[in-house]
Amino acid sequence: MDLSQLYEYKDIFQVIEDCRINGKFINENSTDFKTKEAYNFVLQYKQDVRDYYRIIGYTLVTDTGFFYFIIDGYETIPKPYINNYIDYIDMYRFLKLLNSNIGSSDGGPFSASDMESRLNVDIELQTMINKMNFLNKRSTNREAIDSIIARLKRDGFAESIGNKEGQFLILRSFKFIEDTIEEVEYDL
Amino acid sequence: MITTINPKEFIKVQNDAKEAIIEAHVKGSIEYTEGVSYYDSNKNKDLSPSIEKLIDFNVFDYDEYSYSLLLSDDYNAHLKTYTDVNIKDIEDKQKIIKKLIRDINIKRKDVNDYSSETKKINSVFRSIKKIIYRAIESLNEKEMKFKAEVNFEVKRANLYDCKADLTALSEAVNNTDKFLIEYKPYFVDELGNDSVSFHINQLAHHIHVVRENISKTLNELSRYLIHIEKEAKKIEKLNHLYKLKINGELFEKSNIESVLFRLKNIAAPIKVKTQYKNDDELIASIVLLAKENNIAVNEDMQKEEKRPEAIKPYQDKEVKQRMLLSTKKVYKGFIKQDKDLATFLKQKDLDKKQFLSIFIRMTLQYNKFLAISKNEIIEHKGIKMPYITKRG
Repeated sequence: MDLSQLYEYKDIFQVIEDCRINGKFINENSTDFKTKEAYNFVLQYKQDVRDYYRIIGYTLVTDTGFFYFIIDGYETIPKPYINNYIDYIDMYRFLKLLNSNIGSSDGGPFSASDMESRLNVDIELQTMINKMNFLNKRSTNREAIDSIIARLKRDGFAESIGNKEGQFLILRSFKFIEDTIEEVEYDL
Repeated sequence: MITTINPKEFIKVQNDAKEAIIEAHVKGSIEYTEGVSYYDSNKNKDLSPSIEKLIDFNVFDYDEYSYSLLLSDDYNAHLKTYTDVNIKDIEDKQKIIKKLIRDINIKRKDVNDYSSETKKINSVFRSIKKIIYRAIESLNEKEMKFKAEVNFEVKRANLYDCKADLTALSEAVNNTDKFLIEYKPYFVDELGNDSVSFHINQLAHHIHVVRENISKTLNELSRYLIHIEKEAKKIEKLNHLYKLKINGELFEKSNIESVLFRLKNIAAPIKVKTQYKNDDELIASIVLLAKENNIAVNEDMQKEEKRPEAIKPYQDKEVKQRMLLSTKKVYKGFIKQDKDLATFLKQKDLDKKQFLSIFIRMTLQYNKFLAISKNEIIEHKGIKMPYITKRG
């Protein structure tokens, strides 16, 4: 990559910068055209991008279908952040029992209405979601589903599909959660 | 495995066909051969849809050898149970054939006509073919439906049932193949009956075609069930972790803390997001912190060049790096003078990488306030760069 070409890649670099600064994932199956373009760019110029960001202390991490940046040199995790990830024990369990097809390998699209109708007939799932105090206030089953989807979107694991109301995609980055749970071991 | 036919639909089809047959009979378009109604689809175009529906419901059999339409020997059974596909029927059909062979042998001894037995045998061969075909169709349909089932336990149980049915079908098909190999010499060599030979060959060909598909589907399903078992383990694990969590024993009884430690790196920038979004000062200090901690440099990186700031005393290093790496400060300096960006940065005594880094970040962050000329190229330390000046 010649630096004189930089101006041509300005838009792509802005997306990559946004992901770096805000800790977002660059997903292969994103519905956003720019993110997809950035994914393909990083895929093509992986080494160049890695070298460039290494200079300013960031490492580009590549996983199946997504990229993200990490900062080297941090030794502690902010406590609230641990709690944020622990919430995913509840959410991932809920999603798996609600529809076992939901996962990073099968991104969907999934429909909030389908999830709602499934939730309406399953008391066990309703109890499960009612106990999730970390979610936004919700009074109906639909609101509960919406707040889970909103949380997934906020954390970079899901995306809406264009104008389709209530339809969403699970992004490849959800593998990050799957891998984390996979690694945990426990005593019986 | 039993598929239910909607009785109302069945009766409607039956009545429609009855009317069509009467009409065709009145018109004189139905001919009789050996006491069996003869059906020619070309002559009876108005009759065809009704008859085809009855063939679908297995009321009639269409004999491709004699081009005749025969009343299915399953017809009575259908009227009683309205069932369609049952894999166990294949075995029963084989027993029927064996019984018919016995009858033929008795009739042959007495030199009697056994053509009605051979007709029945042909019908049985056709219905075996039909059962196999329908069983595959029904299992494929079920498999698709079960895979899309959202309730995990229901899905798992159904798919295991589906596998059992598929295995039974596979065995039944293999048995039928053995049966054909065993009895083919009797029908072909001993009886020398062309119509039975035709039906045996047709069934053997059908078995040959479907056998591979069945074993392929069975393999796929087995692989999918392995995946389902992995999913089941995941759910079990999540259930257990959830229990530990609500009992407040999660950190005590699991290694989740050390696993989450893996997240430290990505956790940091997300933390930045909430408090200091787009704050150049903070990013500069994060970079500084990373450098102070002597960030892990890969082997290929180490070979290239060791960064001088890593060996400088702490105080100097901090002042110098802050000055060098804050894009905002560099930009402020840049707009106060008139030189182009590359020439301006040349004065700052930066190494190649720092130079590149600051040049790219300046261009990206302040491109709205910069005039970039693609025609004019400046070269510095072997890098070609566009000519960039402040705007206005």
